[in-house]
Amino acid sequence: MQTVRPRRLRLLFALFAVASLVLAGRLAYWQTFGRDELLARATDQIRSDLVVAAHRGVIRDRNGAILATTVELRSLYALPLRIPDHARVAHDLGILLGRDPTPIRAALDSGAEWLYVQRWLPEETATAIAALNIPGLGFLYEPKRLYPNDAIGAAVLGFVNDNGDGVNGVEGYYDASLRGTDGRLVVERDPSDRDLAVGLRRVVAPRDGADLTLTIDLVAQTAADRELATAMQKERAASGSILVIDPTDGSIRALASAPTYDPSAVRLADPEALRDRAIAWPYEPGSTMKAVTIAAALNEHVVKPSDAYNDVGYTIVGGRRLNNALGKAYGPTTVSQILERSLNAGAAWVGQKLGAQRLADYFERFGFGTPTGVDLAGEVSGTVRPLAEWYPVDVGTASFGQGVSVSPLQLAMAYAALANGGTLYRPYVVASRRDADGEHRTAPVTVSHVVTPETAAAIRGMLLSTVDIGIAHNAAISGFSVAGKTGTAQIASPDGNYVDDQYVSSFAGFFPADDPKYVVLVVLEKPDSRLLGTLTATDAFKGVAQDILRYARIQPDRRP
Amino acid sequence: MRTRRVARRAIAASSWDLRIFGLAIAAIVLCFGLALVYVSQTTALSVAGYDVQKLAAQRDELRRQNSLLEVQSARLDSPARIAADARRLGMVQARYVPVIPARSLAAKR
Repeated sequence: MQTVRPRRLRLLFALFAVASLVLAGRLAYWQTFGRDELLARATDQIRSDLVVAAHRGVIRDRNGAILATTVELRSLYALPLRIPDHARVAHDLGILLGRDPTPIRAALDSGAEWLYVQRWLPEETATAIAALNIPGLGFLYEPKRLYPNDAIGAAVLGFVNDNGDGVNGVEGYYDASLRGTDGRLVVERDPSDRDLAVGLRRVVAPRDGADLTLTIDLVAQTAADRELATAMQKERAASGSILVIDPTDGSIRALASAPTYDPSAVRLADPEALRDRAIAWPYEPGSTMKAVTIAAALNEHVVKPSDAYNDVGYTIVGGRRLNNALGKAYGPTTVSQILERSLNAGAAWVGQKLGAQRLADYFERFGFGTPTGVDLAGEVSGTVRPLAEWYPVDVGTASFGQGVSVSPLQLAMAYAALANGGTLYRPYVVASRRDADGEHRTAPVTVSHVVTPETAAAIRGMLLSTVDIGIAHNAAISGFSVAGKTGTAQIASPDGNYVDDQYVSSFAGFFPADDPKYVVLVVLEKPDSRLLGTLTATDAFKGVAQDILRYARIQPDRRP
Repeated sequence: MRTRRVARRAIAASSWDLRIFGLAIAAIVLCFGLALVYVSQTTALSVAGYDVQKLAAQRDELRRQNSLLEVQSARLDSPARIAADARRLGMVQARYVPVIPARSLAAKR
């Protein structure tokens, strides 16, 4: 009979004892020091830690019409390895998505484990694809910013990029308010990935973004966009802008910029179209600036409306000859007639009487050379050179709006100040903001009183004559008093000269002239009809003004 | 005499054991009952939790559909769309719309 040697038994026992000790030690480690790690690993298998996205705020016009809102749309994804027949699925999807099936097939055959087929599907398309019940296809709900009015108001609204960041316009300026603060949900899930009602549940509720109500009026905005598009098409202009301002508080009722884009499809837009011309395009305003020069001179009592000079078609300033448009001479001319006939020589004469110092001071008072502070992203300041850098001729050229650059919004606000009796307001587009704390209304902000009410009234009368019997007669509207001024400005080239035979045509006006309710500015860059581009600008002004007059039910103040 | 005493003690001990056994059984049944109640409560809670989830999902979907309808309504109300539809129907924008001042109407009354 064979027996086991006691030495071997002891060795075996010792091995078991050591193994038991190691196991016990390991067990003790996991139960003490390693407990948290083990627990975390176990919990990770059943716990989900999710970001609960805050809902981006809705943007509405002053009457409550939705201008921008966020909706969760279905995005189609694919797990190609689970799709049985790539060719057939690509063919079916191509038909439903209205796309060439070849790139879909290529994507499915690429070897990727997971891929987007198309994001943010229209609801009908998503429903039709879901009805096919194709294995390996699924949907994710993803927030998408929608703009129900397409390109209308694109410049003032801005857009939201694929990362959810607001860019340009209100979306950019108020991005932090609109986006809100994301929340968090930590919860245990069952094997079917459903939340468990019992067990771990930590919730940090999201704080939704604020809803914004704009000062923009969708009807006025639509009219502005329509008229700008018509003018751009007619003149094949390089760019353009239309602004509608309420002069009583500085609120912007419409802001159109061309070229434009659809904020829902920014990827298709020309990058140049993303620039809001109304606030981010400094241009030399030309003759529309004469009203500011004359207002300054009247306010300083340097001239009276009835003062006259002898117009010979030009004037000499700083040794340089400054001509009227087409060099025409008018003989004895009053200050009022300078505006009615848009005389460069006359404006330079007024500017010289005022002096460079006071002219520069008034430019500053009217807000030229500094951003208006409008609540839109991307505003430029324009350029008014420091007085020390002015050449002697500059007092003449600046008097009729050459050698200084302004944004359309700056000029519109200056005209609003003349229209309302001399108060320069800070322009704004957000009338109120509603968040969890309630509604916050925007109060109009007075920047300064630029001229006296008497001066403003005198200028209103002159601008009324400019439309009634002067150069801007095309802007007259039957039954209503309209005041305004045309502008044809040369365009500065990078070498310091002016571009040959290319102009910026504009018209700035307000109505009714006695009690102005609206200021409208139209600016067109490089119109085809050159010097006659102001006719198209006044046509656009009338188109916008007539729509607003009807819509706002403003009573006629004249016999038709 | 001694035998009778021993027998009496044995009967007493047996009765005590029975009581202990009965109490133990009762305790076990009670614990089981409590466990059953706890499990049924937990199960009911879980089921209610799933129901809540379903209702929350329904609520979210209805909200989403509502948002989509709001967007659709805004699209249909868009002045640009209405103008485009009017043009498609052959209408043109009036160049001049006469307005009768309220003052002159009041004067005729």
